[in-house]
Order: sequence, then structure tokens, then C-alpha cells
Amino acid sequence: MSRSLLPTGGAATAWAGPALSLLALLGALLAILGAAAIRQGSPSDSRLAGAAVVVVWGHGLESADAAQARAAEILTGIGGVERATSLDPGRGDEQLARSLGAPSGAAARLVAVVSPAAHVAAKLDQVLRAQGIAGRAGDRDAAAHETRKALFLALAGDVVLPALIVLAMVAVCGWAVRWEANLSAASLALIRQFGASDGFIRGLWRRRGAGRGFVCGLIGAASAVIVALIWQARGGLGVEIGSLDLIWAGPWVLIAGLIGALTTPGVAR
Amino acid sequence: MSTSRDGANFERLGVSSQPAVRFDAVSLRRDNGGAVLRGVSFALPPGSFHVLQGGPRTGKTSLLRLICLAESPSQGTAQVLGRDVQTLNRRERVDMRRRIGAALEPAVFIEHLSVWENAALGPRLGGRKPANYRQEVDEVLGWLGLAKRARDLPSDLAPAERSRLNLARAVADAPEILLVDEPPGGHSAGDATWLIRRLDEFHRTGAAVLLVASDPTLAAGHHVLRLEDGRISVADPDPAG
Repeated sequence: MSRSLLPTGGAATAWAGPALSLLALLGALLAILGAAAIRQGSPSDSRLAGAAVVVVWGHGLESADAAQARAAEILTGIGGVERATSLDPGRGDEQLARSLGAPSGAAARLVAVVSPAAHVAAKLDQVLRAQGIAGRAGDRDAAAHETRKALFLALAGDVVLPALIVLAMVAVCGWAVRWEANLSAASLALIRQFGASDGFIRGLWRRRGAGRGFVCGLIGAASAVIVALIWQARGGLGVEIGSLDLIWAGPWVLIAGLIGALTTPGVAR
Repeated sequence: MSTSRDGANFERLGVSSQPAVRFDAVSLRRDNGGAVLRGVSFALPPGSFHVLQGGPRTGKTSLLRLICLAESPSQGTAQVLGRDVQTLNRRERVDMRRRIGAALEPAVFIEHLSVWENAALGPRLGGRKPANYRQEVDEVLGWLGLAKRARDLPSDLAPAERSRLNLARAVADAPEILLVDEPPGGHSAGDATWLIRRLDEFHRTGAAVLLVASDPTLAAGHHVLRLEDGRISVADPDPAG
């Protein structure tokens, strides 16, 4: 295979590779965490399809976990309640707990209560008070609204930050190619003289950019997977990362390659 | 037509009856308004050999750059291989450039590529597969005494060898017009004799050759174009040659 006719930028553009790899790492890590959080947040929302949601917190010698278990058991036993289930921690639950009145700083836990009766929150509040459980109940519609709002804000973050990373990648690729185009101006004039068309020269830059983007994207995505696994092994960030979540690092290899391919010809005329 | 000399083959499909180059009142001005060429008129018949002479900064290299389509005339009509260069579209300009071999000075090479890869630039850019031009490039490098330097980088070559590589690259794709500029400082006596012999050999393949040379001995036996003060005059071959 013939070597590229384009000279490398040498030390002048040596920073571009690490910068692209770092951006790809950030993007891939966000994608992994976002996928994990959405996966965990969505089931929580769907389980609010019952009548009410209850937030409990530790009080006195009773821990939040113990209060949650006791509340689920007690609420299941009251008349008119079909099912009361402890909810695993999920995305948006913290905001939901605060919106239902959990004290700031308290470790809050949620219980979903399914009941055919509407507006059961007041009745549930009475039961909780009677049993000495620190907690409060909220009607499903209000609670679901809060959860959806929190999830929406988190998803917006999942879009805005990657968009900023993409813009940064475009800037890095653009700068690197500008440098390289300046350094290789004589070579470009030479190959034009020997019959290279504009399309051929664009192709050279496109292959150079795609190759650089793909390799840096691969390095960044692989690094993100390693970082995520290390985080997970050390206790995580409050979000449990599943094996399938790691797949979401993959698109950043293609994104970086595409940005490299599409950005370069535009600035190297 | 295929011509073989000293191990080099140059394939040529045929020689046109139209002038290889025809300039009518061609002027070239720089962006700052300075005139490099003023109303230059001349013609190079196909298969001719001309030597272009002139003092320093008289526009010799600019004239070559106009012929090889690296620049466009400010005024006048420049025809190359029968086409007015001003009317060529991008595609035609690219195709036309592939039919012209130019060894301009100062020689620019793609320094990270080997001598062989630099010599093969024309065939490669012409879209040919390496297997189809490998032998031709080997022969050209051998013909110009660079076979043993084929794997070296251009930066490893002596100045005279770089001039030969410049020429090798220009002839590798068997152009119909060959333009050879004079290296800075001119040719040494030995190099000049060697060069003119090689160019005469290449010229016999039917290509039009235009050589820039300040050394009068190089012009012996050839048509001479004299460029002075941006204007050109034509002289018949020196019979002494």
C-alpha cells in the first residue's frame, strides 16, 4: 500500500491525538454513565403507575433501609392497598424524595404503593404516623411528574455535554489540519502540479482525518471502559454500570472517525 | 510509439501537428502590479528542443510556470497542447497537467517519501496501479543514475542528485512537453554535458523540450529563446553545435 502523500504535522500537531483521545474518553464515559442511569431511572418511573409513592427516612435508631422495609410491609397490609414495593435507588429518586418532603441531608428511600383508590396519600400518611415511621406519601401524578422532570434534566445533560464534546473535537481536528495544511503547502502545490485534482487532495485529508479520529476514538472509548470498570470495582458513583452499558462507548469510535473525516477537507483547501 | 534508450522506455501515443506551446502577447503581472512578462509571443512545435536563456529575474521560471499551468497569464492567449489555458475547466486542467513534465527549481520533494516514490509521483497521481509503473520508474531512475538511491530519502541526496531526481519525476510519466529549469547556481560543466545528453535522448521520443540554461554551451545545436526585460526573442540553432 502506498504511503500518504501528505506529510505529518510533526511536533506542531502532536497534541491533537491526545486531545482527541481525551475528548473521546469523556464522551464515551458520559455515554456509559448515561446509559446506566437511564436504565435504572426508567423502571423506577414505570413502577409509579400505581396510586402513590412514599418517601421514608431513618429516624432515631431506625436506619433508612430498615424504615423502607418496615413501611413496605405495613403499607401492604392496610385495606385497599394492592401492593407496596421498596424501590431500588434510581435516577431522579433523590429529587423525588426531596419533592415529597424528605429532610435535606436525610438518607431517603422510596416505596411504591399500588392502590385502586385515588388520593390515597392522606390515608398513607396517617398510617405512617401511627406506626412511628418517618415518612410522607405523595399522590402518583405529582410524584411521576417530578421523576420525569429529573429524568428529562439528566437526559438534557446527556445531550448537551456530548454536543460540547463534539464541538471541541471539530475544533481540535480543524486546528490540526490548518497547521498541517500550512506545513504541507509546498507538497500540495507539487502534487497539484503533477495532476492531483481537488477531489483527490480532499480524499487525502479525509483519509488522514478519519484514520486519526478512528484511532483516537478507539483509544478514548477503550480508556472509558477501563475507567468505568475501575469505578465500578471501587464502589461506583451511585449508578450501577452493567455490561450492556459499556457498549455505549462504541459509537464514540465512529463519531471521532466521522468528525475527523468530515472536518478536515473543509479547512484544507 | 515506444522508444528505448539506455534502459528507459517512454510510451507515447502519437505526436500532434499543433504547436506544443503557443503564446500570443502573453503578459504576467504580480499582485503588486509588477510586470514579470510583457507581451511574450512564441511557439514550440511538437517534438522541438528549445533552450531558454536570460539573465537573473527575467521571468524564465515564471514562463515555465505558465506553460505547466501553475499560473495563468494576466493578458494574452496561452495555448498548451492545442488548448487555450484560460478556457480549461478544472477537470481539463488536471488532465492537461498530467501531459506536461516540469522539473522546476528550487526542486520540492515529498521528503518523507523515498526517491523511488517521489519519482513515481506522476504515474501514481495518474491513477495507475504500482504494478503497472514499477518497471518504468525503475528504468527512469537507472537511466538517470539513481537506481542505487531508490530507497533513500531525498534529503540524503547531493544537490546534483536532487536535480536528477527532479528530472526523473518529470519524465516518469512520459510527458508530451518537458520543462527543465536551471538549478540555483547553474550546472557544473560535467553535469551540463550529462544533462544535455539525457535531454537529447528524451527529446528523440517526440516530446517538446524546453530547457532553461544560462550556460551558452548548453544551447549549442538547439533553438534558443532569449528572455530579456520581460520580452522574448527567438534565435535559430547555433550551427557550431
